[in-house]
Amino acid sequence: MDTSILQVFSRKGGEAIVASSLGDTPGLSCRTTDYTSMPLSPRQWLVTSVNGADCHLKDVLQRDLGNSVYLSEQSHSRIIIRVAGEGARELLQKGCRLDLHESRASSGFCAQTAMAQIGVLIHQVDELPTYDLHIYSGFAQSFWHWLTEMAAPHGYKVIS
Amino acid sequence: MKQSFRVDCEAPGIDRKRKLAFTFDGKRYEGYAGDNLASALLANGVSLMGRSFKYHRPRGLLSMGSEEPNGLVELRDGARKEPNTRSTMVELYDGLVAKSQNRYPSLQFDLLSFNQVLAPFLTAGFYYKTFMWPASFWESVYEKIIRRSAGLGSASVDADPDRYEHSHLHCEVLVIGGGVTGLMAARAAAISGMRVVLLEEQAHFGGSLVLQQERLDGLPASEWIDLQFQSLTSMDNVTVMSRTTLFGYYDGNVLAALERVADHLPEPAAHQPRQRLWTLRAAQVVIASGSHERPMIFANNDKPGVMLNTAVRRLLDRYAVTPGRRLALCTTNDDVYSTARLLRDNDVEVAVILDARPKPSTVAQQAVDSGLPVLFGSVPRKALGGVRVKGLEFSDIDGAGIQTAACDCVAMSGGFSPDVHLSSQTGAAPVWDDRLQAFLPATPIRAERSAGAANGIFDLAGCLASGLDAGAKAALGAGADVPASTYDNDLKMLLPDVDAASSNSFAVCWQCPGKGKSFVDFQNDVTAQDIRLAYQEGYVSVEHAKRYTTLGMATDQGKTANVNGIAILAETRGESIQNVGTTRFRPPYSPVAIAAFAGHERGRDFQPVRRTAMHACHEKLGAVFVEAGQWVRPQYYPREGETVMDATYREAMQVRQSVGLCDVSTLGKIEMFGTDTAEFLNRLYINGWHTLPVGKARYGVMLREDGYVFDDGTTSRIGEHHYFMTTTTANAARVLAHMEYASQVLWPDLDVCFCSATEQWCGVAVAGPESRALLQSLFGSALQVDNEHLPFMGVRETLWQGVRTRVFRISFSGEHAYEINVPWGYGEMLWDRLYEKGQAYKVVPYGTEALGVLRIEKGHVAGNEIDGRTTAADMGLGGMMSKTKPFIGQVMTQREGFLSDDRPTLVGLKLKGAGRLRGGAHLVEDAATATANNSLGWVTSVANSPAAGNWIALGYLRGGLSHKGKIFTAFYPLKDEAVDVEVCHPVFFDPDGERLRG
Repeated sequence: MDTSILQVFSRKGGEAIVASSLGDTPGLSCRTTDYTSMPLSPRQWLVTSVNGADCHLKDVLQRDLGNSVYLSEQSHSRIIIRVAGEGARELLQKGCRLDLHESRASSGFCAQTAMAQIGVLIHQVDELPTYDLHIYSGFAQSFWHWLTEMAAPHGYKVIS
Repeated sequence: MKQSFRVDCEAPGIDRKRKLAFTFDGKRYEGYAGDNLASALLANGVSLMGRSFKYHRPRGLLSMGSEEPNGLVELRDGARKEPNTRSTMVELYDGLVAKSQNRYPSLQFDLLSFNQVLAPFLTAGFYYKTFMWPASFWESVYEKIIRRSAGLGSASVDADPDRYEHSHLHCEVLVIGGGVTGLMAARAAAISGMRVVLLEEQAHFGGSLVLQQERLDGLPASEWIDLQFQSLTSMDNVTVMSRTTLFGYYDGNVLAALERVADHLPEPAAHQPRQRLWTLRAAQVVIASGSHERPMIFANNDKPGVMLNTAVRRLLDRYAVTPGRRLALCTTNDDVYSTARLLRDNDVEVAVILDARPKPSTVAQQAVDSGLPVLFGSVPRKALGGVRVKGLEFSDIDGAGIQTAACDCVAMSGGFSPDVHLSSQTGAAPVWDDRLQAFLPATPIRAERSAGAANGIFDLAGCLASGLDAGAKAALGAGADVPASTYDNDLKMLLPDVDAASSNSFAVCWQCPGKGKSFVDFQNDVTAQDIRLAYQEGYVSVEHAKRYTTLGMATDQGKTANVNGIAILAETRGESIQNVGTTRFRPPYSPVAIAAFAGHERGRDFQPVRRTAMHACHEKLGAVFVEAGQWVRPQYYPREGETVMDATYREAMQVRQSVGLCDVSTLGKIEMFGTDTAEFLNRLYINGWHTLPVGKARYGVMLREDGYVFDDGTTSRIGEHHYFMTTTTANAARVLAHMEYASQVLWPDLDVCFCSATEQWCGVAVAGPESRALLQSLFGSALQVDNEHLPFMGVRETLWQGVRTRVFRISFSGEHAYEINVPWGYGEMLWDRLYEKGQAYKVVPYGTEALGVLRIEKGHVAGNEIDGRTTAADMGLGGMMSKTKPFIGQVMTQREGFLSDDRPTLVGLKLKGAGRLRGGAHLVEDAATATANNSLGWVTSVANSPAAGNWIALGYLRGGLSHKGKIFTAFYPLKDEAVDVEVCHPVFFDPDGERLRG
């Protein structure tokens, strides 16, 4: 499944309207039927499409936020690795310095950090737990190599 | 004679049904599951384990814990060989192989024990005093001798076959140590609901509880420990880790621990890491790491068979091993009496108990009453025997009344030092306590508290209560939300009933009477005499005496040595121990293998590798890759038999003749938006941006705040308020950070925003006279690429094969050239199509080497010229600097030194005659007088140029182009080469830009 990714900037004067649509709680994503938005920093979000809304993501955001935003196409800049299962949290803590414990991070948690010396945006999707890891495309292979080596003691299955 | 020193008691530490075989120095022995290597060796009567560091004295076991200074062995063999491993920390497994170390030819007969005869010359600081001359002997002779005789085991030269992991753990309460104090602390904190982590260094819990003697809540000690363990592990909010040593306490309550995941196995299971390095972040820390018993200082106190009292007791209590048949005990405190009772209960003879205290304590009196042979006011003078103790000479504390007792083992207790290492690591200097004769942790400066023996509480009831209290306070300190009354009640329920507390009184006896080598630091062979000598020679401060004598500087960090050493120094100085003070303890608490620190990051995983979208295409074409920061880029594409020089020459020539393809995806790319973007660029770059129309690109140069050139690249205007910047590969992240700073801090009022798009777009440079034809054949009707539709520095967007594509008519090579960008995922498609269509135009893929040749021919500056010491004017780009607007770095470009005529500026250089040019060569008037002082400049980049038909170079030269036509010498001292070069204009190819614009 191809996911569209856009980096969204609120324009001067448009901050309030964008924040109300995309959410502005640091470290917490916001979800609509069409997209998930993750605050990156003041006035900046990373927005990903949900379930086949791919090619329309830009249109949807233009429709909803009109002239309040600048949109930067980022669909190819990052790969997303989904890590799910009982051992997922323990696996990610092998590289992630942030506290992913359920008492501190639940569904919707998102943060930018570094794992295995590689910049990662972590987004917790559900309480299974399931995580989406956004990694710059150039590092994809290197990160996958680290992740699978760390996952080997747990046992893992590549689903797709 | 199998395990003849194993006694017949119920020892909870071993499983007699499971026999394990192992070898030591090639000889086969047997032990039981649960044994460690030290207990198994002693069970077999092996008391000689190694030779000492300096004097090669025979050594046996001193302790039974992680503080062990003597019993170091080479464990395992082959690639897994591990030198200097503490036998007390090695759990026995079937097939274990260990060797003694620092001996030649054998442990029993060590030639280098001759050093003992030289001992008068090997005193403190001997290596500073001897081996002074002749200087030529330092490396050739002395170092070899010292290396041979000093030192420990040898490491394997093979790569470690095992995996090592890192992991991170957060908690509210971290409890260090799984003895009674730690167990109580963990349970107290756990019932508050906080996240609790309990770490224990050993495989088992219970610390120094005497399993065969103590009862808690009416249960035998080991049953009670099991109950605590089960309660803790049944709770979701508790993580219990054994075989885990906390070795570092850092700022912000960040701590580091080493988990020995598979050290107790012959080799790790499939995918199992050998060790795991934990980084812990804890709101509150409870240090319950216990205490270390101190040796007594008397002559020959290092003889095999002379051990710490707690070691003797632990051997018997846990492992059913007696280290001797007839023991002498000596002490300054009550602790040996429990050992004496245990020995007697197991029918091991107690020859004598020497108690340095003049009068019996309550506990000592009980021992006397039970018939144990105790002498009060008595201390040991000298251990007798060869490679094993045979007797003990003792006397009154003032030296009178010398007697001898026959014995084959001496158990000594010089008091207890609370383990203040971790609290000291936080920066809190330990405080001396006269009553306890020990350093105690200072008032904490971090969110930590020491409890139990680590805080100077040595009785069981006291430790239990102290642990409970510390655990509860830590939980509350971390914000536990529990009603005070119920919490207090719940806590009381946890506290077990134990027998009444014993008294604690300590005699002061730092140095027993009698002559002979009395060891303080066993691992580094430092004697009491050495410390006094250091003082006499002026090393008065504890920090200086430590370094001069090497006291406490071995891998055991002086756990058994420091306090004795400080006390002897204090006595010598005639001052209090508090005044002398301790040295600061530093991580790691105990040795950690480098592999554990490296974790995943070794070999080619040392750092991550960044690959472009077209990596596979280059592999298919047989590219040789080069690292450019984290990126790997094609360096050249060799054909059969070609050297790098051949391939580079061919690729560069082919580009000039037909067309070449180069992967330029690694350039930094930044998408910029906003109504003030042009103004923002105006302030970043030295040149102007307000006039750039949509659909055009412009070359720009950025300065640092100090006026030196920072980076260069092209920025294109894609739309009214949309720009696209490129940076050099090396500076991509730095430029983005620089822009963030400018935008967020300097000019937050500007409407501009930007983000990296380096990996959104990948790019191919298509360069050469046939490039236009190739592009037209690629795009067909999708895009017209003639001069009218796409002039030099023009930018167009189009849909190619349904893919959003950007085409830039820009050139780094000086050729008629384009750069095509497509989204990253279409990189392979773009490259393959270009390569396929390019066959009709004799297309050649070219790497970074040929790219370098082409840009040098064109005189384009790159990283070698923009080296952080050069200005825009130095590069001949001074004219670009706008005089009508301010920009970052502008003010500093007006500095005197920047305006001097004497600055080296960019020139071209042509080789005269045979040979080659080398980057880094100095430009001098005359090779005969070539020195650093005569250097007039240097060569930055060189190329064997097909266009020029010879070696050419760029360089910086004082006076620059005023020397045009003059001959200088390029001198390369590393190879002692000198060649003549002619100064010329730095643009060697197409100076009028006809190729670019044609």
